[in-house]
Amino acid sequence: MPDEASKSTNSNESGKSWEEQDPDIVREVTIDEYKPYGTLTLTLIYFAIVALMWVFMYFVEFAGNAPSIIE
Amino acid sequence: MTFIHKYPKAAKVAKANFIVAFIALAIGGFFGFVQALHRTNVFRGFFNSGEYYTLLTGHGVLLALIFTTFFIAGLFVWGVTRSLDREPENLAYTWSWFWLMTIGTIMATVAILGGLVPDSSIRAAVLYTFYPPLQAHPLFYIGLALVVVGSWMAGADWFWSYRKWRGENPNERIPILSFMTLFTMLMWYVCTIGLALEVVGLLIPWSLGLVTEIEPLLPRTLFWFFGHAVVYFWLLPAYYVWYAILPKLSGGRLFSDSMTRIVFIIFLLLSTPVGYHHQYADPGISVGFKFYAMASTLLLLLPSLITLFTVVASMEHGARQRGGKGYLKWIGKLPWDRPAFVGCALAGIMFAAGGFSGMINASMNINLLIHNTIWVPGHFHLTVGTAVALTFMAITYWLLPQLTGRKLKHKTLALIQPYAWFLGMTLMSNAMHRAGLAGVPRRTAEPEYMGFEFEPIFGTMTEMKWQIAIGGTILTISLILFLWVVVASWLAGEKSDKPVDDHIPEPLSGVEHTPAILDNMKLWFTLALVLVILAYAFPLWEMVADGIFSPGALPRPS
Repeated sequence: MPDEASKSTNSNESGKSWEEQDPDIVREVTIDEYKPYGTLTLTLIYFAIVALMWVFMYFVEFAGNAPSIIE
Repeated sequence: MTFIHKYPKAAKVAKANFIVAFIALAIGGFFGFVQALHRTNVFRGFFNSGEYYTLLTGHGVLLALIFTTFFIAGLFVWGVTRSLDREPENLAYTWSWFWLMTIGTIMATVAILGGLVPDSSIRAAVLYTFYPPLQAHPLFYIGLALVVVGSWMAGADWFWSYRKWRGENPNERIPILSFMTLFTMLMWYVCTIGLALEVVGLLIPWSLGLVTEIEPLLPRTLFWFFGHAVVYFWLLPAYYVWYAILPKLSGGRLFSDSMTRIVFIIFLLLSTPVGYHHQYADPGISVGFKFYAMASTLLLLLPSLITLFTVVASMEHGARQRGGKGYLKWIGKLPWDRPAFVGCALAGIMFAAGGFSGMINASMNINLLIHNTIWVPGHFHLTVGTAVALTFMAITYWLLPQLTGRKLKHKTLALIQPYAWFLGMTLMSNAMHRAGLAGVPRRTAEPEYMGFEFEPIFGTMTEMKWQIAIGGTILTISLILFLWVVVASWLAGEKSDKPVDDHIPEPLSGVEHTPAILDNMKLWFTLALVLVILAYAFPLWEMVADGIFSPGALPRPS
């Protein structure tokens, strides 16, 4: 079924796709040719940061402070 | 032709909601500025330290409850109207919920601001969580109750439109903008049951003097029944923007319709039965239930990580359509000179950082390390204070022209604004997190760390203090820029038939690939209720059996 986008006021005015009407778009990338390698790279970087922060947490919680003893 | 020309009545309702939202943002933001300077002892001349807690309550309530709720209402009016292609069903009803919420807001605000009037009996310095034994004037609780009832009526309004639309389109799938609205509201209905029981059943009778004692654990537990899901009531509309609009602003298309629907369903299921993770330090709730909440909370990372993938993949699609190449070089091809895109993208980056501190909060053992410290406000200034607030501000630059029929003015200032917010929040929030690790408490007018030796784990107290004060000041400047651009564009922007490109393209993987069961609202709503009953029925029964109005256990409010 058509998305609500089809009810948008400026869609398909000239029978062209949205990409063809936008001057900033160099070429249309279909789902079959799209390989999100960049997303994979960013996700791996994020996971690496999270892992490093967990290592940092270890030092904060266990190694950074002397044991707390309530007398 | 844009939204206002096609749906003038809905545009008026959305604009009215935005006006209240932005007034709340201005007042609450100013209070935040005062707090940043007061707490750090950079300047304490605005108000005294007793009044600090009134300002703190105003900051929390006006920003976290009022700004968000009204902005979300305006956003959803826009989305439902547009995606179902119909004006609100009955305008008298629509305006009645708007005015009910507005009257409630005025009542609660008057109660809070009363605390700044000497010898006033009307006050509400109970902070955003309003735990007993802190007690507010009844006006505060009744006002907040009216806001919630108004929001229920607003949700019913959108379901009403949906039912009418469904009658005329029996075989069509729910359009994605309406789907996200309806599932957010279903979650809101589940979680506000707790708040309604707390405010109407306990706090209003108590503040009116009808009862003198109430079980202390019960209102806290009912608050957090609501209090974590409300976080997602703020966040899901930001997701709504990131899924539906941000891909187009990036120059691409939403990666997957079905991923979007799955994420909203998981949030409906898991948002409410996780409230105990705010009560890890509370006695009287068994560790088993806290563990259940922790497991559910960590499961909630799943939809957030799906969102990370889907939204970034949609942005990358845009960048590649704009000529981007490589593993990371494509990022440079994104429209970093357009305020609506920049705000949403920077908000997303901040949310990724907030995701990490959220994992710490959610984990039962490490939570105790930062419990009730300034780490916690450091965390939620990344999530609600940036991921949500900056997204709302940024998308205003795109929505306002559609609602007013006027072009955006001062585009350079509008572009500086999200970058300034990002800078200010980076300074303020990192310092708050580190100060929290060092044990600095939250909600304190005068934390004193001078005159004796105190070495935090990372950095120095003086450096953190200045980062908070300078960061808070930059955030205030950013807020002023936002309000200036909005007011100038609203009143004096150039009139146009097409003030902005409002077209939203279809997703790359569209609804034709989405299983029909994802649209089964009855099924998911019932499952959500079952999960809540599993989490809450037994502990709540224990608390009620303890005596609602005659607490048998200490500590008792007095």
